[in-house]
Amino acid sequence: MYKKLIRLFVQGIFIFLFFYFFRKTTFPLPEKLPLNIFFRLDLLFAIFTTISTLHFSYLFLPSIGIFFMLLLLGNFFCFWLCPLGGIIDYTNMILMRKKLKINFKVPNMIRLIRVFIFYLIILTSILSVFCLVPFILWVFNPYVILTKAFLIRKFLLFFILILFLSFLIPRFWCFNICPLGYLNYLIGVKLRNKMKKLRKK
Amino acid sequence: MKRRDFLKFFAGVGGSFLLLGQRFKVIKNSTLIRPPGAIEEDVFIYKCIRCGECLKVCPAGCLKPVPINKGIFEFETPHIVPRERACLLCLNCGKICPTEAIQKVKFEEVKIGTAKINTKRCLVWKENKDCFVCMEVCPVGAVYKNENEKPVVAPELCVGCGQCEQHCPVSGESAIKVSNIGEKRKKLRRWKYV
Repeated sequence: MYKKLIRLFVQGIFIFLFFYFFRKTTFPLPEKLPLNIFFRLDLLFAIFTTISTLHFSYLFLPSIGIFFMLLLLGNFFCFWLCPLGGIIDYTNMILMRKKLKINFKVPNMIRLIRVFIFYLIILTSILSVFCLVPFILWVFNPYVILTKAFLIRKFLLFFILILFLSFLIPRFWCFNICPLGYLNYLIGVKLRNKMKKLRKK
Repeated sequence: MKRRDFLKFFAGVGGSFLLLGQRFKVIKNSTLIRPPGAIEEDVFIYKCIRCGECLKVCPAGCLKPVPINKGIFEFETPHIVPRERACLLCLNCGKICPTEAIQKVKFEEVKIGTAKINTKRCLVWKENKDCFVCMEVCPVGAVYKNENEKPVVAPELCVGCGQCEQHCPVSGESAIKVSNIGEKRKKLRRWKYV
């Protein structure tokens, strides 16, 4: 119970930070605030841009920190840090999803969508070294969705749709579509467990 | 799904993307005017993560996302449409970009395009009117009067901000147009291309 409350509190802080930075991203730019930090924490963006352009930007150094933190703490990113995940959790709490007992289940096949999207992104990043391939990653990125939702109306509808689906099915976006969530799961759960097993041996 | 089927499927997807890539290799002929500090186009379209931070920070609102009909590869990347809004050369887009797709540049290094006067539409050239709005609004003094008292652009001075195009009083298409010809784009120091 306490853990859940602490988690909601931390999520609230990161949601506040996201919107505070979003609001501050105007002219003139405040020099000291890391306004673009959420994009720089994104490990998938770091991987994609590094492979497809064969150049690692120093701006993505914080994402390496996230990689090691995932190995240490497990998949904390989606449940503690991600502002979209936080907004989904808060919306479900405010709309009292648990009391209404809404809990649609999706077939396991649907979960493969994010696996497919993730590998498609990796494939496009490799292919883009050789030829021109459309860049699709941004459509599935939680920060881009959140930022664009408050800039462009079409994306606001997309954002509302995500919230609605996640109200019907718990964390629908995160568990079934989000490729960043899948990468975090791969590192924070699969890779972490493998390393644990190796240590035991 | 068996591993073999999985691999076959991905080989198919990869093959079709390769073909697509070959077919649409027209990106180098792009006519889009990019924000100041944008890196070379073929890298820019993959470095830019379409986050929209530059669009939000632009005080003039001159940066707009590229619509899909202008190119599937450039879709949602920032570009300038000078006739609608010209660039104020504040260079904040370079400061906010989280991926170095738009890099920090000094004011002296900015060159996003070059303006060109259409003498068939210009009020001074065509109708001998006393206009010179382009000369008045140019922040770098790249438009000047020639010996015949007609406006001319000095391409070496013009930075391509588009103030002249935005403020041109000719209705419809502007008499002075900015294109990305002569733009200076930074090259990324990257590992060798395959």
